[in-house]
Amino acid sequence: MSCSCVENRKVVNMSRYFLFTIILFIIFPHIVAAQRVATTTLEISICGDGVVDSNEECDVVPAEIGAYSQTIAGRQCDSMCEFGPYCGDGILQTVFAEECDDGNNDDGDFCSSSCTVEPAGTGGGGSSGGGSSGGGSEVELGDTIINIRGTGYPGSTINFLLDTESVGTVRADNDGEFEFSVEAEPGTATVGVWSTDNENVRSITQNNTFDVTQGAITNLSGIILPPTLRAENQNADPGSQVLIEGQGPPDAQIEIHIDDSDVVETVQTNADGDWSFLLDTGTLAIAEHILRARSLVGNPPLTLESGFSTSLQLFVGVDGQATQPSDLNRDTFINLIDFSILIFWWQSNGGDSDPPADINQNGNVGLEDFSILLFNWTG
Amino acid sequence: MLRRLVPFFVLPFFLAAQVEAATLYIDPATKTLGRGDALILKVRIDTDESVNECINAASGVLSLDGPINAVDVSSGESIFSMWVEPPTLNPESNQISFAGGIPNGYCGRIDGDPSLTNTLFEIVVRSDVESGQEEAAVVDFSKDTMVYLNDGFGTVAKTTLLPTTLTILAGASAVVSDPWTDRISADDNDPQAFGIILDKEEKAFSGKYYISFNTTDKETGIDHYEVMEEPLSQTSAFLWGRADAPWIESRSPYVLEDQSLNSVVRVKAIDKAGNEYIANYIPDPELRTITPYQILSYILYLGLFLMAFVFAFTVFKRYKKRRVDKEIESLRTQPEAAAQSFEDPNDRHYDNIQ
Repeated sequence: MSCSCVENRKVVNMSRYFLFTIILFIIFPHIVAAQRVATTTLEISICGDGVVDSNEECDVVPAEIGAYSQTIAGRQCDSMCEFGPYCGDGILQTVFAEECDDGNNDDGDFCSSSCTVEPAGTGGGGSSGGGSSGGGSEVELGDTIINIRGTGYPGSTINFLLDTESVGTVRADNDGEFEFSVEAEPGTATVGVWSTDNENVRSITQNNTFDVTQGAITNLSGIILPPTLRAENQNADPGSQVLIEGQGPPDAQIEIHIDDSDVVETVQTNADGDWSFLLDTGTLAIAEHILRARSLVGNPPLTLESGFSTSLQLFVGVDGQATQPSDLNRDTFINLIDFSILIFWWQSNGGDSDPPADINQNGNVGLEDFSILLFNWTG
Repeated sequence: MLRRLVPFFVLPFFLAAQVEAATLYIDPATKTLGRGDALILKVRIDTDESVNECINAASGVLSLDGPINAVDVSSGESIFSMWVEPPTLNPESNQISFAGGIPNGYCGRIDGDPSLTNTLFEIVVRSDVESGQEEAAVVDFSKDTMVYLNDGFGTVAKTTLLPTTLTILAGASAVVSDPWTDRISADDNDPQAFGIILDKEEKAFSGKYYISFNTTDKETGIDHYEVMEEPLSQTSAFLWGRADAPWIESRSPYVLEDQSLNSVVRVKAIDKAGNEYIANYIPDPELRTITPYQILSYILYLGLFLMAFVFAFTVFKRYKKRRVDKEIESLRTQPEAAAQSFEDPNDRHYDNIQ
């Protein structure tokens, strides 16, 4: 009897539950549906217990966290147990008031353990130069070296400038790859790389400005030398075809940008890095046009791109004369001497200078001419 | 940026967006200073990397407005190495003018660069000591500040200019901040080694020999240059100039005083902390020439030589004559003397020699 009562109660309860479920289904259909399919996996992890759980990148007990922690993890693990941005990760984070970040937490190497710029000389030793003394030298540092790797034109001579001064050359191999090392002063440095192609046309100088860490090897890799760009005729009749050619890295894609990249043509270099393109001037307006080229190396979707080449003026249907080079003393180099001559004629009309110091022929030797001279700088 | 990995599908976007705009700004953009505090403001430049923009020159004027004064400028951390006009203070107008550039251009930050290396120059400012109410000070670029693209045509880049605003407190800080003095104290490195280039251009510098030089100091920056022309040898017969040749404050290019190139040329670069590097240049002997002054010197020395020769000849002649006279005199008096000398004390007799 009692059993039947219990069973009846169960049936009644089940009926109530079923009814309640139907009502809920009518009112909140999505909740009920969710309840039916939801699965939950709970996992507890404690950030700060010193145990790196599966959803943590790091875990250090709070007492060991901070910039003065004895362990690398202690200095680099944040309160969310992630390797967040930190001083010493080699990435400059100015939003965290980093003045520098040389990838370590050492003092005496121009960038302190707390990522503030240190004055020169605190590291002692160092590589070179005229330093009077090394200051407090608790750390013995090695040579300060810049190592440069990149891709140029196969078999070409690659020239290197350090802070505008020529520091050496190296020959690129058959794949166009080159490597070069040079001692440097710590601090801001600019490395320039240029070459000439197999028709003796000079490339643009590819400049790279960066900070050199004292007593370390600073690697500058991934340089792609911009291609050379030349035309058989810079004055073309409308509708004629002009052969544009040059040299770049082997088996690379060359983009030819016309004017402000209004038109972009592409062509492939061969194994020797040579490329050529027959430009139909019929597609261009009767005007002066500016052509630039750059190389794309690698396969999509990831491609390394070079900077742009020197600009080439193409006069279609109009008379024009290409901008003269800035070799003011005619010694085939554009350097400090040409700068001196430019300064001599500064803010004048250039007088009887030959070649004209008024390089852009606007009647005044000024910053425009200075800019052109700097562009053509050979060192 | 060479090392940027560029997905192909993004390229058309980049190429379409050809709005080249450099940004000149002052770092920090805001800051609070106590009275008498000093602060180093960095004038920085950003290029438009989305279009691979490269710049190579900039010029302009910065004006300081409010209770602050510029006390020094430094190009020590500058990416610019060539200056038509190095950053120069004009205390009267409280302005800084500058015009400089970087050969082959600056194309922006490289991934992985451990520092922010986009500094053009630094300005050291100090707030007025006189306490008053809290005030604002602004450092801003003049409207004619210009940046030039590294395109070989001297094209002016579209440029955004961002000022900095400083809050000057009514009173002094607990500890007066002076980072510039600290930096000068810490700089014990010489300016970078450099060379001197001699040249002569028919249509410039009046066809005279001139020298060019340039260097940088990566800490506090170059303060000034001094030039000395020192005579090659102080013992030479053809000496002009002075042994204590003076150092003359100058700039490159410098037209040599000694156009005959018979002087050693020395150029001293001095940084803001007073460290020095001296470059020397000894002109090629084949280039040395004789000047009218030297010809005069030749004649003078030749004259002196001839006079000395005549004098010596005369003295020698007189000496010789005197010696001959002396010999004759001695011969005249010889018989007497001989007679005396041949008298034998032992009474031995000798015939006189006639």
